[in-house]
Amino acid sequence: MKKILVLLSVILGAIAIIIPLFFTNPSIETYENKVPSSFLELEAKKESVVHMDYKIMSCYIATKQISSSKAEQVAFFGIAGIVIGADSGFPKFLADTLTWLPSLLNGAKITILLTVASVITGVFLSVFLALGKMSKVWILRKFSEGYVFFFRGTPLLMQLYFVWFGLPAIMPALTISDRFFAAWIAFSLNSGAYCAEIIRAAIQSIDKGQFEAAKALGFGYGKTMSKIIIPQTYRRLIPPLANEFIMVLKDASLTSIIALKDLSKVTSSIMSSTGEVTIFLVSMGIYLLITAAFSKMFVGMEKHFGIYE
Amino acid sequence: MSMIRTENLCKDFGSLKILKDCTLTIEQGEVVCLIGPSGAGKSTFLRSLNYLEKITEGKLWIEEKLVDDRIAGVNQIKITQAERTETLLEMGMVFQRFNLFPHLSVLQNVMLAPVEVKKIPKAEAEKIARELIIKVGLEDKMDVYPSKLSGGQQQRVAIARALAMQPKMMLFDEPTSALDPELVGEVLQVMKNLAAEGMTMIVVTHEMGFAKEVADRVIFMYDGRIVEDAPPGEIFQNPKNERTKAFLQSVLNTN
Repeated sequence: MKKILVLLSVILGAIAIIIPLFFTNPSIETYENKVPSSFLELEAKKESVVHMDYKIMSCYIATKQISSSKAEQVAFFGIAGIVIGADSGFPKFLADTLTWLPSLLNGAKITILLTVASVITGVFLSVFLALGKMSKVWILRKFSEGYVFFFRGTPLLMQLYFVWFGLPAIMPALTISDRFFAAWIAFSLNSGAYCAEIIRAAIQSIDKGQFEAAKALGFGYGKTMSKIIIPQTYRRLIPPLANEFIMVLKDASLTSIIALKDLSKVTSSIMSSTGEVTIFLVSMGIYLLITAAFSKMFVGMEKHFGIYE
Repeated sequence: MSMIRTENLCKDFGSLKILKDCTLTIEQGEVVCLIGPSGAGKSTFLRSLNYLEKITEGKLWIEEKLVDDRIAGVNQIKITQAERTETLLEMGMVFQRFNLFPHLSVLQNVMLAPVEVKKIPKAEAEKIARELIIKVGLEDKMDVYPSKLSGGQQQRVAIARALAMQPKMMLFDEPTSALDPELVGEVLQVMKNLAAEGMTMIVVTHEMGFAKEVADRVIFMYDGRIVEDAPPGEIFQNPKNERTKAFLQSVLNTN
């Protein structure tokens, strides 16, 4: 049943994309001709015209700012060579979405980059923290425990504030001028603490016999870990790491407090400048698409690393 | 030359005494079977020869070199990690639960230690590994992962993996206990061949048939002590100790 539904939606989706390809997109002139004369005669202080052309779909929105509180707008939406008036309802939603899409996608790009970079750095960091936590050396163990305690026990929002506002105040040499870089540092440090626990649990779930076999064959600690134990944890790591990844992806919206233009920040600024609440739907849709794509990737990775089972 | 010599080996887990004054000498080329009821300390004794268990008291010589001399758990002799690894490599170990590396194919399992620990060039290690896998009769399973093998096949790979380090003696810790009865024979056959080649072997086992047929000496352990140490003919036909008698009676009757 599920398969039939998936197949059906794929076919419908393909039709929706392919059919419009056979029609010429309405040109900007077509749209301009459609603008009613009453709008053209309007006395305006400022005017703006947006024309987005995505080959399959296009839209045209002209706005005239009459006074600081009053604006007039005409909007059209074009698909498969047909132009629809988009002043209200679903066509307006479509036209708006097309207009917002470039900035939303830019925001999504930043969100994805930040998440991927932070989780990769975090995992790298966490391998050492996890090994430190299991170490026989007192100072390493205490450092790792303290690190995890601190970064898991304080809000990520506070950590982000601290990296962006706190560090420069304490020591001007630690000023980070790039917003993305600051967010990356805060998120990596935080993610490292969470991943450390994930990795420690995965290592400790490996059968003791593996350590004994390695020891009997003369492997030292480093080689035992790198050649025998850690490769076996990969498959077990993927599900909790996928979870952590998705958490970070959504936590990336916290970066709006340091004015990094991620997907959430872009959404809320469009919302506050246009007053269109429908943007939240579009934005959430983009988040879902991203998480769906990455979930699919993680499932693939799990299969790949579990090939021996 | 004695391969292994222990003197008054003791092992405590807290107040629990697992091994009590175990003194034993094993000569080159000997096949020695350790038998006894469970909890007698057979496995612990075997594992303490290989540093898998730290002994509490006693002395241990490997190839007539003193490698462990402990009083109250403290080693009285200085020995570096490198020396320790070196003596460790003289002994191959086969476990009850096989402990193959599940993420590596059969060939990679056998090759890994020679390449990573002994630093043998890959091509050469692969050649040795292939020969050993053929020797244990698994030439058609080279690139298969352990999870696809039966218990008996896995244990044969484990033997090949231990042999790949070219040890001078082999320790077997109940190698057939985790196997289905019909798979025991193939593993014992590999071990018999190994014994016939003159390998020094110490085998903790419940396979009395194997002990009778292959062992040069059978050692009976009870309650952490070596109770009886005699050739198989003697120990099976004419056990001297009451404990041995009782044990053999119960085992041979159920068999």
